[in-house]
Amino acid sequence: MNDRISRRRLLQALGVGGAGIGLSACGVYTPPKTGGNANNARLNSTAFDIPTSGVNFPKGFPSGPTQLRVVDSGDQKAIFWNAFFPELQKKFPNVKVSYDGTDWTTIQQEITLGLHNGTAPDFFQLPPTITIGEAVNSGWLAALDDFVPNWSTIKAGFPTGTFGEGVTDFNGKTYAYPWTTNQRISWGLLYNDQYLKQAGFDGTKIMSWDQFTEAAKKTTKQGAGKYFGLIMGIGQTGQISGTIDALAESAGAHGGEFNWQTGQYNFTSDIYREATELILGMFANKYMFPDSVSIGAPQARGEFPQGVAAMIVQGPWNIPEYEQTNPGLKFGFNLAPQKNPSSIWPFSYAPGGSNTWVVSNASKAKAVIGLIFNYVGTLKGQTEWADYDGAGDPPQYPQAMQHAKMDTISRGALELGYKHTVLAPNPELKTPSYANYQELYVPPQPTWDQTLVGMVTGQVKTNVKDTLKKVQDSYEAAMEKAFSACKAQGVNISRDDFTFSSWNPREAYKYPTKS
Amino acid sequence: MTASSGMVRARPVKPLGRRIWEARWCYLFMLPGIVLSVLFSLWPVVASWYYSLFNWDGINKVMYWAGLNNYRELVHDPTFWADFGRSFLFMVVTVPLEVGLALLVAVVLNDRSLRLAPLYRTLFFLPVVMTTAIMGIAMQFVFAAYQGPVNEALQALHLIKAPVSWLGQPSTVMATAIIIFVWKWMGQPMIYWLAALQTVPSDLYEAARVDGARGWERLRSITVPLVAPFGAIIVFIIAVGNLNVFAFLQALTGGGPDYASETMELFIYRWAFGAATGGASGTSLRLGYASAAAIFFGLAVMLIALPQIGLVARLRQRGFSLGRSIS
Repeated sequence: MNDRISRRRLLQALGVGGAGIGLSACGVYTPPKTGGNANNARLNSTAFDIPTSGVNFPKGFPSGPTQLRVVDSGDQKAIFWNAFFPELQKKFPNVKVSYDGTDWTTIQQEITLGLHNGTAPDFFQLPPTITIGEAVNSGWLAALDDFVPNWSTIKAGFPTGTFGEGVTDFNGKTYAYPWTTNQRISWGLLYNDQYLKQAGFDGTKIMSWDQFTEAAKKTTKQGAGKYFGLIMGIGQTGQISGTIDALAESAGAHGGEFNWQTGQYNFTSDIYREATELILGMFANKYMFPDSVSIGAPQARGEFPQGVAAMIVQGPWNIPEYEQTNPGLKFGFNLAPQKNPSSIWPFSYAPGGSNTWVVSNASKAKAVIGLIFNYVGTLKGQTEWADYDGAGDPPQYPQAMQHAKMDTISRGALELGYKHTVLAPNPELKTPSYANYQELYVPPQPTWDQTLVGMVTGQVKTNVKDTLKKVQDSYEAAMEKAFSACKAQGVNISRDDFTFSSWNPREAYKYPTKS
Repeated sequence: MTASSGMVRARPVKPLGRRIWEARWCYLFMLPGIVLSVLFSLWPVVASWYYSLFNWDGINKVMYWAGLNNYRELVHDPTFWADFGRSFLFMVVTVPLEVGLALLVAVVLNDRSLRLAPLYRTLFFLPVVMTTAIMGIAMQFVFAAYQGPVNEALQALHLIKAPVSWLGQPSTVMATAIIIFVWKWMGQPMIYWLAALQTVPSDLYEAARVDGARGWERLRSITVPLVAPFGAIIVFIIAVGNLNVFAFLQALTGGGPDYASETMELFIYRWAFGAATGGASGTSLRLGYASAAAIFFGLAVMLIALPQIGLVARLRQRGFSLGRSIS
């Protein structure tokens, strides 16, 4: 332990570690006194019932000084940890926690570096560019089966689709723990109730695409330059494409960009063309907040409660933040506008969870992690997670959500998530070669998102239909090229591994799992 | 001088080992610098050459041999050439603006009769020490289309009818970035120029005044010729610096919109550390490809730097140096 700390300090001294590693040297964990993300619900939360003995208490729990370093992407998660870790430290004064709820850019840089040089935190979230399979193959991760008490029982309590061979499990052991669910509406409509009502619209009813345009038009007019119909942050990759994907998928483009039924991209479908034209129209007609092209998602969601726009397409994780920081704001959350509100196709979500934690193989605090991981996997732990994180990062246990204390908007958002999402198939489940495919895949240039930004800014001058055809062709070609590259390297993978013709997009995909 | 008298007895050459031993303290003190240079300068360059020959995401242990494919692909990548050209365009436009404006300001501030010169010097230099990331974010607000002070001022002056998204339009983003960049960094060459100007003997100006030379004539006939050698060095220092604008553009625009402000460094960063796409689209990290681009760019920067080295050497022979002028 001492050796590890001294290396960390050395890194810090060299300036390699940056903020996250710097925080790791802070010693005892103290939660922020005025956490901007504080959720009202947590004020009513009961005390944590962390076990000190019994079957859920890990054998070999350290009695001497133990340092636990945790890094994740913060946001809603930080609200839970900010309450939990002080309680853990109170119960076990020998355990000192250093928690860093940071951003994905920092995770990308510091976790990647930490994994390579053996200074990764004890438990953390992997950067999106490192798959769990890659991390397991590199020997960076510890199997939870080896140190989480009652792991098989805990695991069996989670809903189907939480764990899966090739997703969280490798060679029969579990290396990743997704205790929050993907079953949520990631792209919903947050609306300013006052502006919409003034324009004659009721945000509690799901809007059609025509109504969406009309609402944007009327609110922009009534705003007279002070506020606009819609705000987006398309300066950030994935924002405009994510919005269009969500509009298209719930209109019947199964799987969103990639149709798992056919094993082909959806870009040339009429639905994608119409969804694209809908959003481009918002820009062309100036119903959009004027800086939407140059700002990213954090700025856009920060601007919305300031009253600069009537609507924003974003996730439910904004709800507690808006309630806390803008108590005067009257807003609501609903499904994103629908092409046909009477026939809504579900949003598909990938196996695993919305957040996945992994444990460093080099960690010397595995027993402490075992205690935490066991606890958050119980109904009590899942309910407490729900108390703090609500609809933004809901836990996997549906019954935990029933017990959780949360406000009306968050509960509504959560129920929409349960009602309008289904588990999607995933090639990782079919073939272990998927990891090789990912390594050899070269994304087309420009990407779908870049093409959309090009259309908005007038850089792409062809019509929408022809542009989408080009996008489709380039994505299909990239896939084929990756298959060829795999073949050349002796890796066996084909289009068949990406095709799940039996999948009914209205139902959760039933895939084989060893859990 | 006779042949015999011209014969000088050659000093016996000491063996290399002995010479090193005699200068052992010099080598010892050089060692940390050499080690750090090898680790943080030489090794990354060598590693880049090596990585550029592989298909590798920079993370996985497995590296797939690509030979020269990354270079071949690069040559046919229009975004690469656009970014490559943009990097040099940025340099070509900003250097004369930055250096020229800095000279004018320095000449004015070099006037000892100007009482507030130190205050102005500080004001012009302040943006240089401002954190680039913070400045980038602040400028997003300053140039915002929605209630941005620049737009409001221009509208109040009736120069524009409607707010312009200066950083959100491909047609205006680079020009806006250049204006901000020149404002931020002009203070640096200004200090160089001030140092150079202080080497010009004041009696030359006094003599010129006695001869009836006006301000412009003194500038043209005395100041410019005497500081020109320094100018050459300043231009090259600033030119190489203005090719390295990653932090500035990343904070200000992130290379957008639609790559309209992406330069080579952002291109390299995007491929080396860019976001994952996932699903059927795999990940987009390509450290090998980014390394190939970095090598291209590095060679180009070297082409700019080489004349600088030659010029500095030549000026040194003529007795010029910025160090001398500063001292």
